[in-house]
Amino acid sequence: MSSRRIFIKKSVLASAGTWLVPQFLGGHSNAFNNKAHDNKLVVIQLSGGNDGLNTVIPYQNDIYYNSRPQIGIPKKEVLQLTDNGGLHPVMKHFEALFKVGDICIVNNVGYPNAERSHFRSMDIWHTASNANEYWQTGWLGRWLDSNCNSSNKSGSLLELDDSLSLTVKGEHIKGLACSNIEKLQKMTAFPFYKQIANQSLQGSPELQYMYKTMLETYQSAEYLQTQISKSLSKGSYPMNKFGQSLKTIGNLISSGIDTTVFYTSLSGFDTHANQQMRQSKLLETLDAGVGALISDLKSQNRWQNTTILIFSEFGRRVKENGSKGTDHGAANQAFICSGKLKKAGFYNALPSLLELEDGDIAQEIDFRQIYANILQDWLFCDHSEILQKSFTPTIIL
Amino acid sequence: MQLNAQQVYLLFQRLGFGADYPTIKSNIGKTPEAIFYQYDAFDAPLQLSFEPIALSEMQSLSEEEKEALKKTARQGVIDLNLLWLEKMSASKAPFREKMALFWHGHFACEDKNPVFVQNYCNVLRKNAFGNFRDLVFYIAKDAAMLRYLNNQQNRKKQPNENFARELMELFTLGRGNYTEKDVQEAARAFTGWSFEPGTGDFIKRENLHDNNEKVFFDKHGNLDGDDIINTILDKKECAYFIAKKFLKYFLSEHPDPTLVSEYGAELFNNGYDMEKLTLKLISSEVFYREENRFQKIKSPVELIAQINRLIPLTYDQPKIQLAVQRGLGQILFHPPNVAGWKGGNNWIDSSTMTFRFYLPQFLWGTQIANFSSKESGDDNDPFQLSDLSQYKATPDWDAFAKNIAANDKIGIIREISEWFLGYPIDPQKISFFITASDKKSICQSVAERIIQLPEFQLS
Repeated sequence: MSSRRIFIKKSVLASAGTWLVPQFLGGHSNAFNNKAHDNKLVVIQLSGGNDGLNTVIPYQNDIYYNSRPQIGIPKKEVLQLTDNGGLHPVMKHFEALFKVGDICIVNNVGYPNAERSHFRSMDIWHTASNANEYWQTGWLGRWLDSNCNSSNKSGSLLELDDSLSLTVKGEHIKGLACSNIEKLQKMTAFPFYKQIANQSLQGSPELQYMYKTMLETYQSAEYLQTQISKSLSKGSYPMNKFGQSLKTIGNLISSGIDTTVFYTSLSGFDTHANQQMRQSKLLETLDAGVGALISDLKSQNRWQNTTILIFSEFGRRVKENGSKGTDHGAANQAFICSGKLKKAGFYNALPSLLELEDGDIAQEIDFRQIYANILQDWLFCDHSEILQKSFTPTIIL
Repeated sequence: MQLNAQQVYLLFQRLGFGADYPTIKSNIGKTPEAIFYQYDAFDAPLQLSFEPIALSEMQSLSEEEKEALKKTARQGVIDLNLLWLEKMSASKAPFREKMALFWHGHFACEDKNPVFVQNYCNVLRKNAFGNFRDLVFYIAKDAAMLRYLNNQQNRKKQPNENFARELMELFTLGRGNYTEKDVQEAARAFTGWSFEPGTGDFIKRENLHDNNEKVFFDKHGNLDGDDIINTILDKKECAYFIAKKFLKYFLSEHPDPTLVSEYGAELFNNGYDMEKLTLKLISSEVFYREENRFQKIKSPVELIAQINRLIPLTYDQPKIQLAVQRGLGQILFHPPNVAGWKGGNNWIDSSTMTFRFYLPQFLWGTQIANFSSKESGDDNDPFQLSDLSQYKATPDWDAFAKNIAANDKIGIIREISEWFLGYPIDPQKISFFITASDKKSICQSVAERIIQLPEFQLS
C-alpha cells in the first residue's frame, strides 16, 4: 500500500473535528494561511423570470397602471419606500431592510441584446458571457479555479440542491451540491460506497478523478454534518423547502464553516397566466426566508460579513398579457443585501417606462458590473480574470 | 486483423453502447470491418404520429386549443427522446446511433416542435456515416437548427449573425480560423434562409436575401449560403477540426497531435467520407492499444443505453430514464447550448458521481437513492419532471443469469466483470458485499456492484 493511500485512508477515518476539509468546501492547503477575510456570499436565484415591475413598483407612474389594468398593484397597497418606488405588499422584511440601510436595489440590470429564452438567459447569467457567446464554465466556478480562491482562507462553494448549476462549475474545480446534509451523509457513509471511495488511486486520470470525487464527497458530507451539529443558531425559519435551505446556510455560517459561497434558488416565477396569487406567494416565501436568515445572522454576529445577491434571469413585459399574466421581458432589478453596504437604498432610478426596447425595460447596468463589485470588493479578487473582461464595478459593496 | 474477445468488447464499447454477452462472443475472430457492416443497417426513422400543423391553422385556434396543442407538442419531444434512447438501447445498428449521438453533440440543437426534432434527428441518423459535406448542407437547411440559431431573423436589412458564427466556430472551422469580417459576410449570404412553419421544409425567401457583393475568404461576388459552406469545406482546417473531435469522442480525451494530423489529412483527402474515417480508426492498432483504454467517461445517455443492453429491463414508466438524463446532465434534444455537452471530466461532480453510484438502486432497487431534479422555472420546459422516484424498472435476473457459465461467487465476479468492463477485476474488490448464496441472486448482486464502480463509468 502506497504511503499516499495510507494518508488518504487516515484522513477519511480520522475522528470528527480533525477532518481534512475537502476541496469542494474550501479546505485544502489553506489551513495554515492567514485569514485574509471571512466574508460570505449567498446567491439566491429566482428561476423563471420574476416580474420586477410588480416587485419594486413605480406607484406614481401612470404608464405602469395603464399597461397593467388587471394586475397592477394599487398604490394604497404598495409598501412605499420613496416618493415614487415601493415594494410588493408581502415584502415586509425587505421594507425593514430598506429602512435600516441593509439593502441596495439596483434597477434596470441586464446585458446587451437581451435573450428571452429562460435557458439561454440563465446560461448568460451563470457564465457571465456575452449574449452571442457560449461558455462552458460558470463565473463562480472560475472563481473557484482562480488563484484568488486558493491563496485565501476563503474557501469554496455549496449549492443547496441535488444537482450542480453551471454557475458553480469551473474548469478544474466544482462546487458541492447538497440539498439535504443528512441524506448525503447517509448515502456516502454506506459501507460499499466507503470501501470504493477509499480504493484505487491508480489508473487513467479520468478514473482517478472519479475516485477522488467520491472520496471528497464523502469527506464533505462528514464535514458538513460536523459543522451543522456545532451550530449554535436558534433562528426559526419557514418550513418550506426554500426556508429550510436558508436555514442550512444560516446554520453553516454560524458554525464558522470555511465555505465562502452558498448558492440556492427559488423557482416558479414564469407567470404567464394568473400571476397575482402565484407571484405573491413566491415573494412571500422569498421575503420570509431572507428575513429569517438575516435576523439569524445578526444574532450570531455574522451579518457584517455576509452579502446576499438576489437575481432572476430576466424581467417581464411592461404590458400585461390577455391571461392576467406577463410574458418574457428584458432588464430587471437585482437586490444586494448586506450588513456592510457602501450604498444602500436605490442604486439608480426606477426604469423609464417611456423609453422601452421592444416593449421591455432597457438595460442600464450590466449584471457583470455587480459581479465585478462582488469579486473585487467582497471576495478580493481580480474580477477581469474571472469574468474574462474588465467591467466598471458598481459601488455597492 | 481478427479481433480477440477484449478487442470485440472495446469495439462495441467505444463505437456502440456495449453489447449483450452472446453478441460479444459471436463476434470473436471477425475483422472490425465485417463487424461494422454487420451492425450498420439504417434502422427505420423515428416515427411519431404527430401531424404537422400549419401556422395559418394555429392562429384560428382558441386559447384552450393552443394550450392543448402545446401540451401535445411537449409530449411529442419527450416521446422522441425516449424513442431514440430505445434505439440506442436495443437496435441492431448501435454504431449508427452512437455516431448520431456524436453529431447531436456537435450540431447541438433543440426545438419545441416534435416534427422538426424528428426530422433533425433522422438527418443525423441517416447521414451518421455519410459525407460530412452533405451533413453540413442538411443541417444548414434544417428547420430546427435555423430556428435555434435565429436564422429566420436573418434578413437583408437586419442581418443576424448567430447561424453564420456558429457554423464556423462550432460546426466546421473552430475558433481562430476565420475573422469577424468573415462572420458578417457569411451572415449576409445566409439572409432569407428559412423554413415552412408547418412542415419545416427549407425555403429561401428571396425578398429577404441580400444579393449584393460579399467577400468571404478568397471568394467574392453575389455569394449564397451554398457558396459559403463549400468555401469552408474546401479548407483543410475544417477536416482537421472534425477529425480531432471525432478522435476525442471515439478514442481518447487527449488524442495525440500526430494522430490528429493523420486523420485530418485522411478526411480531407477522402472528401469527408465519415465511414472511411471510422473504418480506418477501428482497423488500426492504435484503437485497441493499452494506453488509449479507459480514458473516456461515458455520457449519461451512453450509460443508460449500456445498462439497458446489459440487463434485461422492463420499464413501466420509461420516463424514469428522463429523470436519469436530467440528474446526470445530458437530456437528448435539450443540450445546454449550441456548443453541446462539454463531456470528459465535466460529467462528474459530487452530485452526478453519487447518482451514478446509486443508479441501480434508483432504477430498480428499494434503497435510499432518491434524487429530485432541478427546477428550471420554465413553465413550458418539456423536461421539467415531478418526482419520478416511485417508478421502477423490473429486471429479469433469471434471463440474465442464464448467460453466466460460472456457478461460484468468484467465477461469477470474474465472468460478469469481463463482460461489463472488458477485463476481470480482483474479486476482493466487491466479494465482501456479495452475501447471496443462490446463483441468480449472486449474479444480480455482482452486476449491481460492478455498475456502481467508477471503472464502469469508463469506456
